[in-house]
This record gives sequence, structure tokens and C-alpha cells, in this order.
Amino acid sequence: MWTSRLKWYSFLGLVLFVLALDGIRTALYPIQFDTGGRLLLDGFVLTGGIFLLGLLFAFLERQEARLERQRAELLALHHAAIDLGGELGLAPLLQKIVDGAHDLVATRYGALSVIDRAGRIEAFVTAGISEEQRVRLGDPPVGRGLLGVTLHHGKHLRLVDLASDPRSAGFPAHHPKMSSLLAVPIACRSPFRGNLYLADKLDGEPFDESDEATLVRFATQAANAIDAVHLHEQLRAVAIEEERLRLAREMHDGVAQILASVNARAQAIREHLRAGRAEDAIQLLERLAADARSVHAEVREGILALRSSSSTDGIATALKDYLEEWQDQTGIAVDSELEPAVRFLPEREVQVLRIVQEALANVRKHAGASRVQVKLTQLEKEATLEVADDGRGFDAAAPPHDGRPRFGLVTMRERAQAVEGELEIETVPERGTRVRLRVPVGRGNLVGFRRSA
Amino acid sequence: MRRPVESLPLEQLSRNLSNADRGIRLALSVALLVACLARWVDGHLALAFFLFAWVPIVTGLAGWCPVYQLFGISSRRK
Repeated sequence: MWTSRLKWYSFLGLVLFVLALDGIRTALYPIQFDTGGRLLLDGFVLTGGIFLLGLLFAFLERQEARLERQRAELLALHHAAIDLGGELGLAPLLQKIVDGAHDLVATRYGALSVIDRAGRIEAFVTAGISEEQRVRLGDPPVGRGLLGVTLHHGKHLRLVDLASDPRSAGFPAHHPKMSSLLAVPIACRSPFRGNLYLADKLDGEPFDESDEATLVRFATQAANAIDAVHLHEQLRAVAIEEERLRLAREMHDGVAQILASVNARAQAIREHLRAGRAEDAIQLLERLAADARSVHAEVREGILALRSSSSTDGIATALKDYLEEWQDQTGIAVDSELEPAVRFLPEREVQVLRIVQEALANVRKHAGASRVQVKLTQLEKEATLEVADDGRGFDAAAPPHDGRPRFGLVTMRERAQAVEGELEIETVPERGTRVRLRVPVGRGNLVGFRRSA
Repeated sequence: MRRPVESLPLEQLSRNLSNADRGIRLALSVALLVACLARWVDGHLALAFFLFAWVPIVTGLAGWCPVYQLFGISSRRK
């Protein structure tokens, strides 16, 4: 817009310049031209000026158009990158990459090849080819012909007419007719290897350097998105591994310990019975039954904890269901006050849920409480979760009775760190315990998977 | 990445004259030159014809007119 205004100002300036020049010439060299002569001279200067201005504006407008094209391209690239960033499954991501490249450069066809370790095409994703055409084409390409060239040399390929290229080979019978081709590799830091292909621009023009630069930039964004998917998968594997280790530790500290004590008591009972000490045997049998109840409660609680997972309706719903079942199982009354609007990222929600489950397991095992209060609230960007019981409490400074470290508390602290939260435990002997967890809400995607220090 | 060598501004001119427009301009320039060389006109007019005949010649041959450029006109079909 500014160039069109500038054009008018320049034109007006040129006319004023010619008039001023005429005035100065008449003042300095008062040789009298007749009117025709003056008009001729002024017209000549004006024409030259118009030519120069025309050239200048032709250049300016060309640059302006180029800038506008680049701006539009960068904007499209930016939107495509945002679109790719939100995808966490590899197969849908690859389809999005092909579709994005095909839309960005405005071509008739697009494809992406995934290459295995041996350099063969492992998967081939396309855009612009209908399902019916794909069926008629038969097996996906294996990397002969031009697809193999880019793939082996890992360089860009830009052809005006791919049929006339000597490397062009292996087209199946029903392959759609394609003339121009542009191909770039997707260079990832993860082990993924692949190439991106585009064929036939919609405007019928051959691919130019600017199309190539656009596709290279897009392939870089695509590589970043693929790397993010790989990282996400690795983090998930680590999270599963950590969960397995935790389960093993819990079974070792809980069920296995109690079962060992059940075995020892059973042997003692046999000895008492052999020696005819029936009273002692009955006493031990009662303790054995208590042990069995304890292990039963522990296993049921474990199963309940494993069954309950994050809910799409938010943590309040998942917690409510869990608390109801836990109350039925343990006979300890639960008062809950859960704000339904609190939302965590799914991976954080699971960790928060496990912290509550651990706190409740401690209440059942150690507190001897008759009532538990669970409260979930949110204030601005921070959610607070409280589990308070009316049990016997404990002396946090004193070492545990059995001499073993309190693994439950350690696990809870580790989980709190993993969700960037803070865990506080307030306890007074004979007056109960209050576990308070404060977690920031609505930040970072992968924070929930960060390993604790 | 390797940058292409920028072509000269003259080569970057996008044409804004149709073939008919170019033909008329070339014919006009021939007419102007013939008129002054055949002495159909004389005096300042002959000089003006001779001096300004190069304008339609250059624009007609280049297919580009600076006045069209300045006023955003094009006689080419889009």
C-alpha cells in the first residue's frame, strides 16, 4: 500500500522538479526560448525522470512481492510447525507431515518414505493419492529408481521432468503421471530416517529454489516433531520401568514381609501343638489370622490402586470413585471435599492419584484412624490436596519402630518432585497426621516424566 | 544455502504491455520517425517527433511501460 502512495508523491515531486529546473534555468541563463522549445526540453527531462521512476518502482514492487511471499510462507510454516508439535503418535504425525508439505508448497502429490537400517523403504505415506488409486498401485515402492537416489545420497533432488531423468525407473502400471519432482531428506537426531517428496505444483510451474528452501525448512520442523515423538516414547518407557520397580519394592516391603511372618507363626503354632501348648497355639493363630487379614487388605488396596487411573472427567472424579471403594474396603470413614474444576496433565494426574493412595495406605496400616478427610482445592495456578486423619500420628524425627526407612514417604516425596510439587507432612503424636501436596497446574508437557534427582 | 546471483533490475521487469499494445507502439514510433524524416512536419514538432520516437521503441521492444508501472496499469491479460 505504501508504494502506491509513494508513487504519487514521486510523480508529483518529479513534475515539481522539472518546473523548478525550468525556473532556475530561466533565471540563470536568460536566453529566451520560445514556448515550443521550453516544452520540448521540459518534456524530455520529464520523460527521462518517468523512466527512472518506473524502473525504481518496478524493482521496489518486485522486492515487496518477494517479501510478502516470504512472509506468507513463514506464517504457513509456523502454523504447520504448531500443528506438527501437538502430535504424539508417529503414524498420524507422518501423515500430517506429508499433508502439511503438500499444502505448504501447493502440489498435486506428496509422499514420505521411512527407511530401515538396510536402506530399504519400510513405509510409504502419501498425499493427493486416493485410496482407490493406492489399491490399484499395489505394493509400496522399495527404493528403486529416483526414490532410491535421494535415499542413498541423502541430498536434495529437484527435477523439471522426472520421466526424462535416466535414474527414473520402477513406476507401476497405474502410477499417476508426474512431471516435476522435489525431494529432501528428513534429518533427525533420533534413529528415524526418511525422505519427503513432492510432485507437480498446482500452478503447473516447475519447482524453484524458493520451493526447495521452503521444503527444507519444513523438513527441519518435521524432524524436530519426530524427535519429540521418540523422546516421548522413551520417557513413557522410563515411567513404566519406574512404576514396575516401585511395585516390586512395595511387594517386597508389604506382602512378602507379612507372608514371611505368617510362615514363621505357622511353624511356631506347629511346635506349640506338638508340645501340647494349646493356649499358646490359639493366641498365635489369632495373630496369624490378623496377618492374613492385613495381607488381604494390602492386596485388595493394591488392586484398587492399580485399577484406578486418570479420568477424562478430571482428577476429582477418579478420586471420588477411589475413595468410595477404599471406604468400603477399610471401614474407615472418608469425608471428601473435591473441587471438580481442578485439571492436571494426564501424566501428572496419575502421580497425584498415587500420592493420595500411598497416604491412605499409610492411614490404614499405621494410623489406627476412624476418619479421614480428603480435600482438593485450587487457588490460581496451584492445586492443593490434603489427606488428614484422626489417628495416632507419629514422631517424624524419631527413627521408625522396625528400624527400616519409611519407603512409603520416600516414594511420595519422589512422586511429588516428579510433578514439580511440594509435599508437607504435619503430625503430632496421638492427634493425627496431615499430608499436604501443592502442585502447579497447566504447565509443561513432559514435566510429569522428569526423573527425580 | 547457495544464493542465486541476483539478476539485473532491467531483467526483473515484469511485462505490462500486451502484444497488440507493443505493435501499436512500434508502429507509432515508425510513423513518428517517417513523419520527421520525410519532412511532413518541421521546426520544433519535427525535433519533438525525433526525440520522442525512442520512447515507444524502447517500451514496445521491452514490453514494459514506466507510466503503466507507476499507475499500476497492465494491458496484458492476467
